[in-house]
Amino acid sequence: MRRLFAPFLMLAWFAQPAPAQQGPVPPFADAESTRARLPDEERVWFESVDVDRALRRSGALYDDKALDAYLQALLERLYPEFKGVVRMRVVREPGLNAFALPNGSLYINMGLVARLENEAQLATVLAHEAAHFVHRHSFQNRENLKGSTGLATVLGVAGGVGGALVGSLAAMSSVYGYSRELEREADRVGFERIVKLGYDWVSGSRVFELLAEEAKILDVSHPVFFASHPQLEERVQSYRELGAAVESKGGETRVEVFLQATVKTRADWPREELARGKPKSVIHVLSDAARRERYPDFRYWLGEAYRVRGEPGDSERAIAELTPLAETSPVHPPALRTLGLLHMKNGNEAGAAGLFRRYLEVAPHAPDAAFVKQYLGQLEQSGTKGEEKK
Amino acid sequence: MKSLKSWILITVAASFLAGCAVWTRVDNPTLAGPGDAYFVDAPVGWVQLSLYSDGIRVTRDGFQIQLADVTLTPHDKQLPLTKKTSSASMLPTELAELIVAEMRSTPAFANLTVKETTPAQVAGLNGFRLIAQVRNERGVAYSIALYGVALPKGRLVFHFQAIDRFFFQRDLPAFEQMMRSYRTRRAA
Repeated sequence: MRRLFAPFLMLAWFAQPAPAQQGPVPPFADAESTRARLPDEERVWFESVDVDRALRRSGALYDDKALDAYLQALLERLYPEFKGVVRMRVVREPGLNAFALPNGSLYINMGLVARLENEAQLATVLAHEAAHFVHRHSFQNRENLKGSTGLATVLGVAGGVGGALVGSLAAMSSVYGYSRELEREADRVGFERIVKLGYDWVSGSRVFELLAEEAKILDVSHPVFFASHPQLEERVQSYRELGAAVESKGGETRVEVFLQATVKTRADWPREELARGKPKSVIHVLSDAARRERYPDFRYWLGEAYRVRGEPGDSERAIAELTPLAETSPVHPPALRTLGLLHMKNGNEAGAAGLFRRYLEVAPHAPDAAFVKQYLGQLEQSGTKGEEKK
Repeated sequence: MKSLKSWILITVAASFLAGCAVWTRVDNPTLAGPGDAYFVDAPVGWVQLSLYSDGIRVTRDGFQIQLADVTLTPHDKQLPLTKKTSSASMLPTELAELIVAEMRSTPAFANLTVKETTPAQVAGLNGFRLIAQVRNERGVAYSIALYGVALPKGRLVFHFQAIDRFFFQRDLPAFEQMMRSYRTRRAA
């Protein structure tokens, strides 16, 4: 029943008079201070707890405990006074996204982690997002959302956020970005934190350039904050201005530590993208010779991405990427299967049959072995008919 | 007071439903797809959603509990989210990949886990059978069975989903029987 009335409750919530809060809301000073919440803020806080629960129950979280621990430790280094309140979790989504809930829960998509180059960049993202929590931006932004434009925006974009978040106002502004002033405040606070920890802010802020470049190519409708080209361009500009006032250049990037902690994420990311039928990002990232070496099995995933995209010339591109994998030792079973499919579609029946036979030899118990046997049977039957005709 | 409110609600709901006949009890098992393009035998006693214009959709206990639907979509009609199209020459694994990608692109199915995909005869041709699972935001697990095949005139998909606990195993045979009854001519 609660579910049935949820939309009406939400509308009623919007229709309420503005809270009595006057003037700017001071930021939280530390974990203890988060207990002293304003009455209206309390509701937003508990709504966030519901979002946390929904994300957990729906299986939306990415299962990598070592990564969780690494991210949590980094977040606590950035904001040590909020230890015990800020919590870091990874969402099993391949897209570019990270957001903070008003109760201190921070989420980052596995896809965003997989695109980063070093810990300085990761710290830049987390420091920016946590600043939204510390400065209570969700609560402040709530006033702006009460207007009709805000309502239309929230309802209009709700469908793209994720089942668990649909209709959750607590998550909305963090997912889609705050006002320019609040984003700039998060830039400033986040920037101070990464400089204080000795990170290379130049390398760190390059994250926004990287993401802006990809966002431009993807051109998604209703882009979330980290996939919004204009908002990312603003971050690039904002960090340049902040950097101009800082004398120190250089600092730590902690590339090795980062690459080690996130290797599983980079291995899983292309699979998650392609499972959603989205080969664009995979092709963009793995075609880049400077970046792709960091991705386990990049040649296979690039070949798969070309096959899934299926544009003119993609079959040849896929074959070019995958053929070396079929000729190496030990052989790469999935590459044999994908090559077999490509050759079968191209009419190279003998080539396809040979690849399928080898696949079944090296991976007889593969989950798709029954299909490959079926395709091989069709090819052999077709070959026999061809021989008979001759 | 409470019973009066309930009575008013039921009366209002009934007057709406009677006007548009959204639900139809399946008494005669043979149901026709749009334009009589195909026919299936649905389980007697289940309920059909008459307003479903894409194909045939039935349930036994309510769509939150279980639902089964049949769709035959022209190959050139794009899938709404991935914007992909199918073709008559598609292999069963390719079609399965396409359908799963579309499902995963919807927020409610983003965390869909495919348990198994196997070859299956669908409408007398080589197709696929896929079993998957997904959880909603309350943690309730739903199991999904999909059968699909690329026919000359379109992609034919049989979809069944039900609460995993009890309902999926109980109603899967009825769904599979419905899938096997697919034909392009009404039975004599």
